[in-house]
Parts: sequence; C-alpha cells; structure tokens
Amino acid sequence: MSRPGDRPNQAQTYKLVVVGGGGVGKSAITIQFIQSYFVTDYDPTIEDSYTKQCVIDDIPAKLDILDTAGQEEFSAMREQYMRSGEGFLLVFSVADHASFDELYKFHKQILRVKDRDEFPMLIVGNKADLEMQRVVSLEEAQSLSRQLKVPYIECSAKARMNVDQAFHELVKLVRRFQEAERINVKADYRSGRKRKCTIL
Amino acid sequence: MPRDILTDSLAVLKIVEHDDEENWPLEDVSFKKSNKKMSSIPLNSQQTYTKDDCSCYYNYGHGESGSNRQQDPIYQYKTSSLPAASSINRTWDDIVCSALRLTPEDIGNQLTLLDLPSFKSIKPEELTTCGWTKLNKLTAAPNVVAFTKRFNRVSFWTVQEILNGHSPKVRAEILAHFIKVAKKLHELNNLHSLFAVISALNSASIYRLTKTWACLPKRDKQQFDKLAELFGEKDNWTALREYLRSINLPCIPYLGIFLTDLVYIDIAHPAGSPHRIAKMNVVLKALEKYQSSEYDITPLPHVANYLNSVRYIEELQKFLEDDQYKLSLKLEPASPVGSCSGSKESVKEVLPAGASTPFTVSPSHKLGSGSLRLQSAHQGKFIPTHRKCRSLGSKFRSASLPRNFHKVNFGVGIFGKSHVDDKMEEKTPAGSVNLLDDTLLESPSTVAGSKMSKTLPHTDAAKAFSIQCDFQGFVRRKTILKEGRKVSLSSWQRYWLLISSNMLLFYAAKSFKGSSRSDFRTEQCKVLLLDGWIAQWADGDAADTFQLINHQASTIYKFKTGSESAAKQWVTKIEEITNKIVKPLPANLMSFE
Repeated sequence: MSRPGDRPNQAQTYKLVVVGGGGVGKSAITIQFIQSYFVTDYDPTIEDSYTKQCVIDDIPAKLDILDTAGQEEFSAMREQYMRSGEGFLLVFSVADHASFDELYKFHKQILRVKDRDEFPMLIVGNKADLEMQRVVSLEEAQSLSRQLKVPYIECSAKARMNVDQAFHELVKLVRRFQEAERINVKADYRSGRKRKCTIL
Repeated sequence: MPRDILTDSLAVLKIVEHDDEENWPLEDVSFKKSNKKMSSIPLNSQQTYTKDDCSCYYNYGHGESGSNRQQDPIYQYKTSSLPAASSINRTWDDIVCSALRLTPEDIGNQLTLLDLPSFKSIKPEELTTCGWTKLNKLTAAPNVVAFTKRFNRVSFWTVQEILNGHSPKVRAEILAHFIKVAKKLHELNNLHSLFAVISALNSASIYRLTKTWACLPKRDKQQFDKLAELFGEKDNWTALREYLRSINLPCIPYLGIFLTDLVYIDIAHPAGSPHRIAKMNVVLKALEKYQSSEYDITPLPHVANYLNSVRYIEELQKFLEDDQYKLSLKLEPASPVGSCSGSKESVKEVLPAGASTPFTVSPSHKLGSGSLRLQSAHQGKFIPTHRKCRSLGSKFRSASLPRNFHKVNFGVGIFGKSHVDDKMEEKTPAGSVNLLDDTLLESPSTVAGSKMSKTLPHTDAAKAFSIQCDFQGFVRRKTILKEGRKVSLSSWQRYWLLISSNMLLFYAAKSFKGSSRSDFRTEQCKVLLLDGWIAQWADGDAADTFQLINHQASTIYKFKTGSESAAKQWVTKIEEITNKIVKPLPANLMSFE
C-alpha cells in the first residue's frame, strides 16, 4: 500500500471489504460502483475486475474492493479475508429482515479480527427502491446505527442510488480513522518518552 | 466437535441433527458410499491401529460417540516420552481419536477421499441457477451446500483440535501437525480442504495465540506462510487462480471463487443476455474438468470414521465460533497494553496506523521474527543511512513509520525488554557485529530490536532515501551449512536479490515460477549484512553457481544465478563491497554488560 507522501504521484490504495448475507445484492452494488453501467463483456475472473480509481475530497484514491458474494456459506474463511480489510461495508437488504439481523454478527466478527473497539464501517441498506417490500424501517436501521456507532446509508444498486456515495463515505471514514491513529501513536510516543527518560 | 460446545443441550442436538440429516440426503449417500467402499477392503483395522499406536500423544477419554465425549471432561495429555497407551485393545471405531494420533499423510489422504465424492456430486444446474444463494438452497443446490459444509467442518475441527491443547507448547505441536496436514493436502492438490485448514489457522481464535505461534518451529511457520500465500484475496485471488491454471489433475479446487464468478456473471449478464451462457460455460467446463479427478488412495475406515464424527449443527455455528473465541481468550488472555509479553496489543501499538496498513501479515510474522521482518511486513522501506555501519538497526528504518515510533514501542513490545544504553552504542566500534546474517534477522532478536530503537538518527532526511540498488537479479538459494550444522533437507528457494550499499536484500517469490522482478514481492523478506561474508566459486559446482560463506557464523549459502557471467558479476560485486568493509573487530568486543 502506498501512503500519501510516500509516492506523491500515486494514489493511496484502500482495501474495502463488502460483507453481508447471501442475496442482499452485494455483487450488484460492487458492479454498479466499479462499472458505471453494465457492460456486456464484464469478466469477473480477471485481476483488476474489482479495482477503481477515484477522487474523493480532491484526493485521488485507488479502491481495491473485496466482495465474496457467493461465498457466504464458506463462513470459516471469513475471518481470514476480513483481516486485510481497511474499511467495511455492512450490507443488508431492506426487504429481508434476516439479513439485517445478521449485521450484528459481522460487526462483532470484524472487531474481533481487528482486535479493536471500533473500525471504519458503514451500514448499507440496499434495495431501497423496493419501498413496497420494505421490512426494515429507516428508524430501525438508524437505531442499529446508533447502537453500533456505525453510520447508515440507504442505497439501491438497481436504481443506482447512493452507490458511489456509500463507497466514498467509507473511504472518508477510513481516512479519518487512519489520521486519528497516526495522532494517537504520536501522543503515545510523547508520554512514552517521558516514561522512558525516567527509566534511563 | 459438538462435544465441547453443546454440553447441556443434548436433546436439542439430537432433534436438530436429525433434521440436519433429513435435509442432507446426498451427504448421507456419499457417507454410506464411502463406508461401503471401505468395508469392501479386506483391511484389518485392528492391525493398522496397533501400528499407529506408538505414535499416541493423547489418551482421550473413550466413548462411542461425540455425545459421550463431552461427559468426559478430561482430555489427558501425555508427553511423547511416556509409553504409548498400551492398554487399548479396542477397535479404532470405539476409540475417540484425536488428530495427533493420526499421521498428517493419513488425514490428508482420507480428507481428500471424503471430499472427492462430495465435489463430484455437484450438478451444473445447481451452479447456473445460483441456487446456493437462494432461500431454498437446500433443494436448489444441495450438493454445493453439502460441499461447503465439509469446508466449514474441517476448519472448525482444526481450530478445536488446536484449542484442545492445554499449553502453548502442546498447541504449537498440534498446530505444526496441521501445517503438515496442509502440506499433504497441497501435494494432493486438494485446495478445498487445504484452504479450510489455512482458514482455521488464520481465524481470530488461532491467529491471536501469540504464545503458541512463538513455540512453532521456524520451518513450520515458513511452510504455513508459503501455503497461506496461495489463498491471498489480493488482485481477485490471482495467486490461487494462477496456481489452478498451472496444475494437473487430480485436483479438488476451492469452489468459492467459482461461486463468486458465477454470481457476478449472473448479475452482469441477466437471463436472456447473449453472453450469459458462454460465460457460465467457461466456469462449468473448468469445474467439470476437476470433477473428473481420481485419487489412488487406500481408504482407511478408522480415519474416515473419525473425520466423519466431526460434526456440528449449522444453526449453532455462530455459538461454536463464539465459544472457540472465548476458549482462545481463556487460554491466552489478551495482555494489557505496554506489557512485555509480546501480545497483540503491543503489536497493535507498534503499528503506526494499524488500520492504514492492511494487516495481512501472517500470525507467524507477528512475533518471533526479527525487527526487520516486522518492518517489512508492515511495508516499510529499509533506509540505508551509510553513516553507521556498526549495528543492524542503524542501517534501516522505515520511512512509512512515524519518526519516533520505534523508540517508543520496541523496547517494551514484542522485542522483549532489553535496554541498551545509548552511549554504549555510540562506542561500539564499526563493523563489530559480524554475526548478523539472516539467521539472526529471522529469529527473535532483542539485541537487534533494541538497538534499532536506540541508535537511529531522528532525521527527516531519512525519509528522502529510497533503496539504492548497486546490482540485482534473480537467483535460487540453498542453505548448505547453517550455524555449523549441515542442512540436509534444504531446497532451492527463488529470490530476487539486490545489493544495496553493504547489504544483500532478498525478495521472496510471489508465485511458484517466474524470474523477472515482477514475480517477486516489493518488500524484502531478508536482509544480510555482507560484513564477514565471502563470495566464492564452488568447486565442482555448475558454472552458474557461487557460494556465500561466513566463517564466523559457520554458514554457507549456495546461489544459482542461471549463467556463468551472472555468477561472476555477483562474486565480483560482493567482493568489491567486502573489501571495502573494515576488518571487523572480534565479536566479544561488543558486550552489553
């Protein structure tokens, strides 16, 4: 991964992971984001089929998106691929309450793998276009958002609504988090040095 | 496995299990089939058992089924030095078995034998409809789900077996055992179970067991790293895709990536679109090819029965995971920040922006590897400063790390608590560290780590440096002699080798073939200071070969360069550097009180 200041001309890469139950439309969201429209020769098997360059807050970024759609049942390998993620989209379908309930599990698992109390994540309520079939209300989702301290966004891959926003929002969260981490380390250093001086 | 988790819900267990079986007729068929196959083999299982008996490490409480096992809370551990359980004269089927009682070869073989029919039973219709993603997956894609279940079972079983070890040492022994199982599975091209085992070792419950990983022999760690690399999700699973393309049958592939591809084709090319069928056919053809695999393996009923006894209820998987994690926390509690135990916290602390760096380092790298390894793992760059040649640490620092972070953490974190006086360092004569070959770099080295933390000039200028390259190329390396010991099982390892100032930098291979720069990692895996090393031609060797010898460390490496002229150039370049280096003072001059 490159860092800002490391190679000035190269955008920083962000490893984003899309998680969520089967059938919530993860793959549709990812494809919508990576390809602005459905192209007929889209090939999911090639190397760079899940990367996208974009500019967020005037800073270029390369997004490396890991979407394991179709592999939901291989639950035992989930923690392995979560480990490499720097930001997570927790996707559920507003038309499927079970997929909403599952988010607790993913949230917990991510924090466990990262061994942290918080981590850059975004809850994404997909299929918001299906207003008639909606079973998870906005209020319910917002309440979960408050409880987990993870922001919430509603989108529709089909109507191409809020898809880019979801990814961009996540990148902003990752940036904010990484910046805070850097400051923390510096702060730790300052107090650490004081301690050390007394030892030496 | 349910034995450990469902102690108080036997009734539930039975009901659901029954349910489970009903839902999974095909899996049962395959199970019966394998049983049939086994019984047709005139094999005296008793005999096989006695043969294996001497390799017993564990004497588990014996019961007939999983449900009995849980009432037998004590899994007695026996050291290998004790006589093996001699009193056992039951048949294998009656004995509760543990993974350590079976050879890795037997486990790998029998897992493969169980996986194969399950894999072969997958039908094209299940795949083209993406049936396994639907609510009615049990009827729409029963074989895909059954095969997936096998994956999860193997993985959870592996985690549980490791967590059954009471001490870090025992757990490391089991861990090593499973790495050998993984190696066997790799040999068999059974990528399905191989990934299941690798996933288990990378799971939160096992990954965090730093004490256990610290007890693991280095060779096993390296083996694990190599195998785990295959399953990196980087660049859309390139490593795995390339590997699949490169191998011959028989092979049981990891189905997951094929499923993802199918889901994507399904979305990108909805029913009726012209490319859909052609695209799907490519995936189906590939799977069909693998489905024609045959293995020439003799079934061992006792092993298969044991492996089949590992079952749990899918609905309770979440609780199983939770319980395993709790057990993991109990076995090796998370230590408080700043402790000297080399805990996860200290690793976390060391990471400048834990999150800004994708922490894909394998657990074995996390500790027990030298300071340089840690840095390279965090994708920092080594900065030769050219100013102080006396200590390893003074030569490198990571541009990507906050300037002073090493000073804060290294002294107390994973590198132990050695404190070295700054002044002492200043007085240390140049070149006095002459044992700094990669053996030191690879092992946990408090000396190297603490030096690093103390002697680095805190200049911003360092940031401007990048690795200077004096000479580079593709080589194969073999260890002939290491610390005075002949290395008998040494193999040729591929590296990209680079001379920078007075160092040799090694870059590990990304894949199993290729000899251009792009086939190797961008972060070095080893750094060798050329102080004390001599490059020379090897008598009686091929013309493209040269040796690197350190008499002080009694270590000899052999390098194959591919051409005579390249070998000559390497020797000349290395000679140029070693001639420049001031003759090192005796090692005993550098003392740390």
